Amino acid sequence: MSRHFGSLFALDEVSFSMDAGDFLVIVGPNGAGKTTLVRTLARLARPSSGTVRLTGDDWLAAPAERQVEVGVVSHATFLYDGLSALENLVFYATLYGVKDPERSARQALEDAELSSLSDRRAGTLSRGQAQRLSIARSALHDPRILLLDEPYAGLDPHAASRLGVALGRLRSAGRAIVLTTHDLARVPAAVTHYLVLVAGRVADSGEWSTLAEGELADRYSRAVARTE
Amino acid sequence: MTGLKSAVAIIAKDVRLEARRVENLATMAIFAVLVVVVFVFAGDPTPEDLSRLGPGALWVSLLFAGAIGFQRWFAQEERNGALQGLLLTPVDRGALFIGKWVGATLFLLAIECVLVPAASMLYDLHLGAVWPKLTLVMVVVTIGYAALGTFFAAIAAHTTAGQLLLPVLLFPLSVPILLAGAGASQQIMTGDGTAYWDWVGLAAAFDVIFGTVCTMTFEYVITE
Repeated sequence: MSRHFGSLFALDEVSFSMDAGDFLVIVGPNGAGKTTLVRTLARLARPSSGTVRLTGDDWLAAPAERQVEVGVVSHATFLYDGLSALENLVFYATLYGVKDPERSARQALEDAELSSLSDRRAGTLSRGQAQRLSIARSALHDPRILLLDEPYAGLDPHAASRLGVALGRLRSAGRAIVLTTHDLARVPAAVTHYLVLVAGRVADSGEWSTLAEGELADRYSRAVARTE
Repeated sequence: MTGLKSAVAIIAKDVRLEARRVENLATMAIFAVLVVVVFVFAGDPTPEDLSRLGPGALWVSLLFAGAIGFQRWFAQEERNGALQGLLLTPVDRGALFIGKWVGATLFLLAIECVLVPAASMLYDLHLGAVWPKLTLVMVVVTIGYAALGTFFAAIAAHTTAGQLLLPVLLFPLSVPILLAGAGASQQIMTGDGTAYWDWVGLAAAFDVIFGTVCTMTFEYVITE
């Protein structure tokens, strides 16, 4: 797919495929098009050309009900400052059609180690706490695909480590995960594939297991240098 | 999840948020009353003038208060990208619009609960026997105005000049329904009810047409 704003290409003929249980990490410098790619996959933005297929169907033309198949973490937390942590999750669980919204929300808070903050308004949470709440929100409905755009923003090392473990569990359970980051040191251990995105183009991609220690950093640096 | 359940969840969320910052509604109600007061002081009107101007002033004040309100009520969806969060859910976009529309209608009606008694005192309007008819007009007109306001607030929220754009888009298209409101109110106040139902019918037709169009096209104004 491609996505351009006037003459500027945010995504230029980006193409890749994933299976259930794949964990793709997309690395790239600021402005590489990572967020645009995630937004397009999430159907928050439309590509200028090209398409996205999910289990063979045209994902971009699929009805809104199928949005339940995807969970998204973005730079924005999607939270309502005036609602408590619990109320935010109950609201989203209700919209996602989760059977027992309150029970699911409480469980998600517990998993995110946020139970003690359940009655706190989201607007009073720290950036890291809000990010953890946002991550909990994204998985409330047990989506088959998780799209995480720089999910480590604001997380302390403990929370980041727990996120990595949680993502590993989800991958083992057959969920497909796409995670973008510009911080190579924070690539989770459960990653199965990588994609280097530079200036809107796929500069490199492959299976994670084929990479030697530190090789991604070298490939990344070379890819960035080629475009400068 | 059915569209109705989604709409109800959105309405409940908006009412809860508004109840927690009731000063917003109070400020808008005070603003609306102040607009009505300004009309009283403009041009040194006689009691007869006041009685004649009353219905028009009532609707003009609601027009301004609504323009402020729609902006604020939609702005909460822009904070933290909450609107995108809604778009990521499987909620039908029409249900999303209806949720926001009903919420805005309820908030406007709450403002009117303060505005109408204040205007009746200031303009010496005798509402004793006519309040059921006036209530009907207020509700029908408010529904249509809230539909347009919610729709254009969503458009304005996506533009850099949103605060300026909203009234520019909203006011011209609101003229028919506000005329209907003023016309029906005038009929009630003057005791000449011959055209009352014509005006109410016009407002109801406006509700149906714009409510339907806005619900069906909302998806296109909130997605990139």
